[in-house]
Amino acid sequence: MILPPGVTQDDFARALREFAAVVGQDWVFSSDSDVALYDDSFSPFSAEPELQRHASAAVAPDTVEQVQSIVRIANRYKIPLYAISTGRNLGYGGSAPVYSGSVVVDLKRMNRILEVNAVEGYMVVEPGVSFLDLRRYLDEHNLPFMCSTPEPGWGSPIGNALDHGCSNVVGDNFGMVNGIEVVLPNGEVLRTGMGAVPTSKLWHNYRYGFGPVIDGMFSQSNLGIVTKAGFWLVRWPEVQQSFAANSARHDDWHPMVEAIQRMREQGLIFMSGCGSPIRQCMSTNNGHIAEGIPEVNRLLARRDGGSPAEWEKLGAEHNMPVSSVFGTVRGPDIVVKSVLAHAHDVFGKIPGVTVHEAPAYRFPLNVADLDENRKSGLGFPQLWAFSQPAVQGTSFGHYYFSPMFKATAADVLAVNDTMRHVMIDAGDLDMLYHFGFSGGIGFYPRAYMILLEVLIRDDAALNRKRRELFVRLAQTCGANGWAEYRAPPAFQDTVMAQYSFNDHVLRRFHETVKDALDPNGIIAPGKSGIWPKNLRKT
Amino acid sequence: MPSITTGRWLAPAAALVALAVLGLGVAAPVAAADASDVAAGHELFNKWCYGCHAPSIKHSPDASLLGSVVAGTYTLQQRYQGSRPAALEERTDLTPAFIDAVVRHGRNLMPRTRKTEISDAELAEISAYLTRARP
Repeated sequence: MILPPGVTQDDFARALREFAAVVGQDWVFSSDSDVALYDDSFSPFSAEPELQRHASAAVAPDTVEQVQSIVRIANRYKIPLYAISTGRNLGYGGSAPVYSGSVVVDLKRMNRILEVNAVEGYMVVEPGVSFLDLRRYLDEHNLPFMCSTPEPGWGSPIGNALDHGCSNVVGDNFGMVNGIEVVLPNGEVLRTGMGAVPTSKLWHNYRYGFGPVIDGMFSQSNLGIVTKAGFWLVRWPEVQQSFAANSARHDDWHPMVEAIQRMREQGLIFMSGCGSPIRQCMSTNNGHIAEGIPEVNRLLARRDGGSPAEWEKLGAEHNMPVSSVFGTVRGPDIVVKSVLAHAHDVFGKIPGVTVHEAPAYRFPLNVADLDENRKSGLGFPQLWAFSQPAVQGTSFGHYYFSPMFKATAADVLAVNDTMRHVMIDAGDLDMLYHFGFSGGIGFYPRAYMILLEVLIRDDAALNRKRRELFVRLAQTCGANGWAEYRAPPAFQDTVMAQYSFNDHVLRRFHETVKDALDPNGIIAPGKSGIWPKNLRKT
Repeated sequence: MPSITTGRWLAPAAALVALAVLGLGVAAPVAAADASDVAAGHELFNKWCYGCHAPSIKHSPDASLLGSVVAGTYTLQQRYQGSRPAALEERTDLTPAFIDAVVRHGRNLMPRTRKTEISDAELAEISAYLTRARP
């Protein structure tokens, strides 16, 4: 058995008995085999068990009051807690704690969909609800809403949003959160925004309430345990349709990205992004299947990454665009048609650019007719995404390097160059070829991200090399202003270190708040690189 | 595409021993389970397992996806190379001990499943469904 650091065996046994008195003996897990179920199934240390982070026990409350009692007991014995919702944040830690020896507070039993307001378009859920649960509920109750699911559907709307997860339905899932209930480190329950007005009926309609807005302080945070949240929902549109604009010329990419982002800025499309199909065609990142054009890898392995003329020549030879952008629109048929007509108009002004319309999806959809890989973007959670690493032969899953940068062609090219150079300098051509080239993913309206998938192998030395590469990527991109939006626990200190303006005042601010609200440092020590006073390295 | 043959168990020693005894976890099916357990297990299978262990895609407007398979089925297809059905519901050689070990300890990309997700009693029902007597 692992003990929480600094806690005696007797005290831990007493605490477990007290947890059991709160939730029932069946919902306290302390045997080695039960606690092992909380290990990270996609740990970057999977082939080095001695380096893995482990829980000391797990406790599974069913009510907010039970969460409060658990927090109070943990304070008494100074036991670190680590809350999970569905525990399926695979690639970002899963159900394992950031700080080894923590007791996992498993909120899976708190799986109630408390309200779906079909008129006002919001829902209130508990953390243990999964996207798949939500879809089932919406279908069973004939509620015409999309489910803003990330690709794997077994995650939790609350857990995903709090970790700044994204979906192809709304992009920024935390942006849809309206009203949070949280158990604070001292066991008190706090409701944000209008939820603080006891008689308010607007908790999930108006976000700000009065005074400083603090919802964000509970995302990627260790200042409390969120026990319910309201989300705005996306109502089924009449039609959803995507389109792409392509060009054989490198230089067109700049005005094309500017144009697609202008449409996004104007609210005409809800999703956008850009790519360079010829540069990307040999990538195996995120399950892509390589096209078999070795010249692509030869150019990408060169420090200059190939000249525009070389890419244009290669693109022409293989009939693949050099520059591409895409957008997605949803709404009434007439609106979708008008936006598409506008897109033809806008991109038609750039000579040589062609616009291609994807199939129009008319709601309600028959889910049985949908391609698996299109379901999540249409509001249907599934687990298709796991086919991607499956085809790549990994035994232990994957994790992501994911920097944020400007939604401009210049920044996409610059980030790619920087990441390629780090891989070339590290002599890791396998990783370079796996990555290839990435366009910009526009989950957020005015910024792009790259998702570089790092596959975890049976080979400990290779995994170690990849972790070192990850750190170099994070530091090099950070030095260029492109820090990450999210990271697995093993790299959260590294990522937070990139947010270093004014001698790391942001992290010091978080530490000050942490110490004030959680003097015993019991809630998720180390989450997002924020450590309580007793565990901070000087 | 690469085949998935290098995966290894993440299970503790006891489970490995159990699997070794069972010879890679396959054996003759157990006696017919209670019909209500089988029905409950079918429902639980659809909720928890089908997303990764469905048979190949038979309906898709995108012809290129026809016949493609979801993660679990794909992995088993690669592992068995036709010697056993890749879709779990078509298997007749699974045993409760094998199912228990895989669900609790994960295998390859399949993560561990906690008891707050599938309780021991529910896991027994899933086993009852997957090991049910076939005509």
